[in-house]
Amino acid sequence: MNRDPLAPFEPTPREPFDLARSGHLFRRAGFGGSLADRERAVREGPAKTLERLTGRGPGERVDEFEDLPIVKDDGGASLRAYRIWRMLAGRHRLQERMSHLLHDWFATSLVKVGQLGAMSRQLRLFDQLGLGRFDELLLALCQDPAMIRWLDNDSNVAGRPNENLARELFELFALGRGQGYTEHDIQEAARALTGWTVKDQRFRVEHRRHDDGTKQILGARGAFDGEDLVRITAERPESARFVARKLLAFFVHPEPADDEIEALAARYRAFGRDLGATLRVLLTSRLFFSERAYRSRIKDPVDLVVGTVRNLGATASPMDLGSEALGMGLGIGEPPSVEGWAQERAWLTSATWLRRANFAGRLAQGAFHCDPAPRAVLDGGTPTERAEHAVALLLDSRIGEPSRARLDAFLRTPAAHDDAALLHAVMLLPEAQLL
Amino acid sequence: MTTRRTFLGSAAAVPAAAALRLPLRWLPDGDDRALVVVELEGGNDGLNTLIPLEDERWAKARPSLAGVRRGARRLPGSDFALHASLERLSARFERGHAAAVHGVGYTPPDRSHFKSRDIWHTADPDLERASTSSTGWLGRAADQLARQGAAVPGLAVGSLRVPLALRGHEVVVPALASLEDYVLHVSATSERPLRALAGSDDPSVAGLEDLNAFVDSVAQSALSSEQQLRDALARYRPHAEFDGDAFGRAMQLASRVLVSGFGTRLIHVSLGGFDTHANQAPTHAALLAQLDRGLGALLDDLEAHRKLDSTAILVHSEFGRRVAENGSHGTDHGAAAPVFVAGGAVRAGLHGEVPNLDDLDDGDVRATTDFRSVYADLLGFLGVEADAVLRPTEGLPERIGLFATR
Repeated sequence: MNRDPLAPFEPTPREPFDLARSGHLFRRAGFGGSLADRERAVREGPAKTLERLTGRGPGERVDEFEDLPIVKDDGGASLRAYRIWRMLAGRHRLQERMSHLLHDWFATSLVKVGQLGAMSRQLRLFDQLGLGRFDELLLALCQDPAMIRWLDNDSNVAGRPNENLARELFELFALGRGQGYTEHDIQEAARALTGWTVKDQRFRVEHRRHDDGTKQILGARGAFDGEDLVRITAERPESARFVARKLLAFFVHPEPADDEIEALAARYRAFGRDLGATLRVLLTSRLFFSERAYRSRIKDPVDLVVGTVRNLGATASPMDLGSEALGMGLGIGEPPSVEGWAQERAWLTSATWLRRANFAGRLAQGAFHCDPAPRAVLDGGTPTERAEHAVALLLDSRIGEPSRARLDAFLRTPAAHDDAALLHAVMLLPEAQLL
Repeated sequence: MTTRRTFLGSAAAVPAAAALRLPLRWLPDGDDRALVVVELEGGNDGLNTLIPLEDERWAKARPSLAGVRRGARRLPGSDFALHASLERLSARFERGHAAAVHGVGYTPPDRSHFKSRDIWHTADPDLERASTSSTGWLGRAADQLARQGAAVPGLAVGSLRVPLALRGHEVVVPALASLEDYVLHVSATSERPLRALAGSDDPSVAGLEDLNAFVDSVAQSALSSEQQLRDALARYRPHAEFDGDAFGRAMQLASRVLVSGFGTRLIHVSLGGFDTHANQAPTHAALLAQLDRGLGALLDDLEAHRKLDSTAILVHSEFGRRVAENGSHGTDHGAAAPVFVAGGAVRAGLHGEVPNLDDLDDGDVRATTDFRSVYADLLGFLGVEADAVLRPTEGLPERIGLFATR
């Protein structure tokens, strides 16, 4: 028997590619999708569906969107709206997902960067390079003006090194805390990055301020600069495992097992650190479609607001959804620290649960310029039939026994005749918080 | 390090009245002793907060940052001064309501924000990695208080999320960003069925490892505390002026919760921005002033509501900063630093051994007091069993004596 967790998923009568697995694929790789799209996926199978979600036809641009048009300082509202708009409407679903992951991975905040344009350009970098080679992405980030300001590399100069970017490059971006590097490696890496600064809002190397002496970094020795540093770092076996763990934790399961990490790290190395190719294997694997992965994560606020609207087959105001997510604790463009957002269970507290519950209620009433209005989505029938439809729209037609019993009890009350209340009820079931 | 001797810094710095003073009312109706933890995120520069005025090694290591000596507020009878921004805290020292402990940290130090913060939050210096299942010291204290019958023993105030410190085994501690948000909005006709559906307590559901059960436990905690909290807070009238910014509002909300008699005994508030790698002086001065206004208003409000003696406030950060300033007029991540404790019952003045700036750990201040010693004193003040909270492997850390023994 094949024990490779990344072996391709083959649907069987016992493990069909049904509405649940299709919904899982759409949530994890595409911020949800309309019931029609998810039903078509069931007919077409996982491989064809992933092709549609990554759907880059011949000649199509990598990034189909124009840049953020708004430049005035509005506290980040336009940036949030722009990103949400892409997540709602973009055709390259996986690319939007990847950018969402990378914003947390390389968490940079407008609060310190100060410039909306620079912040937006960093996020566009994710759109353009997020499914390419990891070392190229890493290099682009070390040369990204927002990142340089965020981690103070503009004050990292020969003779007076500032370790901030070097430290986070190892700890949070490419290797992982304590994974095969020392404090001395950080100090030497900081020297390699000296002189990498920002001038006129663009990346620039100030050769006068670059320390061109010999450095010893991660066992290698030479007169390294930032490009060498990134190459040396990305080639480390620890980095392959770190990247594999990040991808697994986001796309599959928050606590990946060692053999899963090793298996994915091996694929990643074999693909020359190509993130897109690595992900295609992961997203069609048995592991991805396993029970272990299904609803194993807590939705983050963006998963919740964008995914719910998309699953209803609707659109809504990106501005409104951006501020709703902010109220639930995820302000796009302003992660709380370089560590990114505290994920999984940390998203859910009584206060944020109330926010989520109130979002659901207002959305069901048609707030946030939701179009079509959710209550118009349930097309007639008995309360039980309409409840089944709502569970198909929002919860993959699959809920546990306790939720089933609660919904049945709700259906016996007069409130069940109100479509908005019925949709609200389905969104208040615990499964609605799971990704 | 737990065996290292800790002692009162300077006898003269401890006003006799405060040291001998007995709290007026510790156990009124219920036990209302409470702890507010104010966390300075990013690594506060302890050396420029509690300034070793006479230490030339300090001044030499910080050619541009030693300017903070100007206007610094000397603590009577000591060689130390508070940063000029800490006006109200300095007055509280003089009135016998505030103390500082020198050189608080752990060995060996970790200079990562996140690792170090996790160590402070979990009270576990050997922490391998923060996993989603780990718990914090305040959370474990909340577990104990819940067993004694406290409905909402802990709150993360001013934040949408609960810090690791407040995560318990048994209790889901809520976060309270603002009061207005803490309401479930549903129409009158669907209110009862929707509340029943969302807050259903199904005994057949397994433990919290199950994600559905976890979501349900959060929903129940939200629905049961929502009404109760709003009722309690409606009774509050402020007696101090708080800033209108996020930190000021959080401190006021903390005060409201404490004086309303809601029964919350552990509160966590954060103030961010202390990661001052570049051009530190103006940023640090503004941050400390913001801290001072929030802290000052909280102490005034508690005092006016006769809650000062039953409340302790801890101000700490995940680490201090390197002794020598860097090339950008800032400071890099360091190790040990002073913490501050305020309240009516605290033994005011300076505690602990002053770190020796000739004996540094890779350029950083060595810890002279185990941070768990501070925790142990605070837990003692709260009447919470320190052993169960701190889970010591080699005996409880030595106490400092921050509070007069009862």
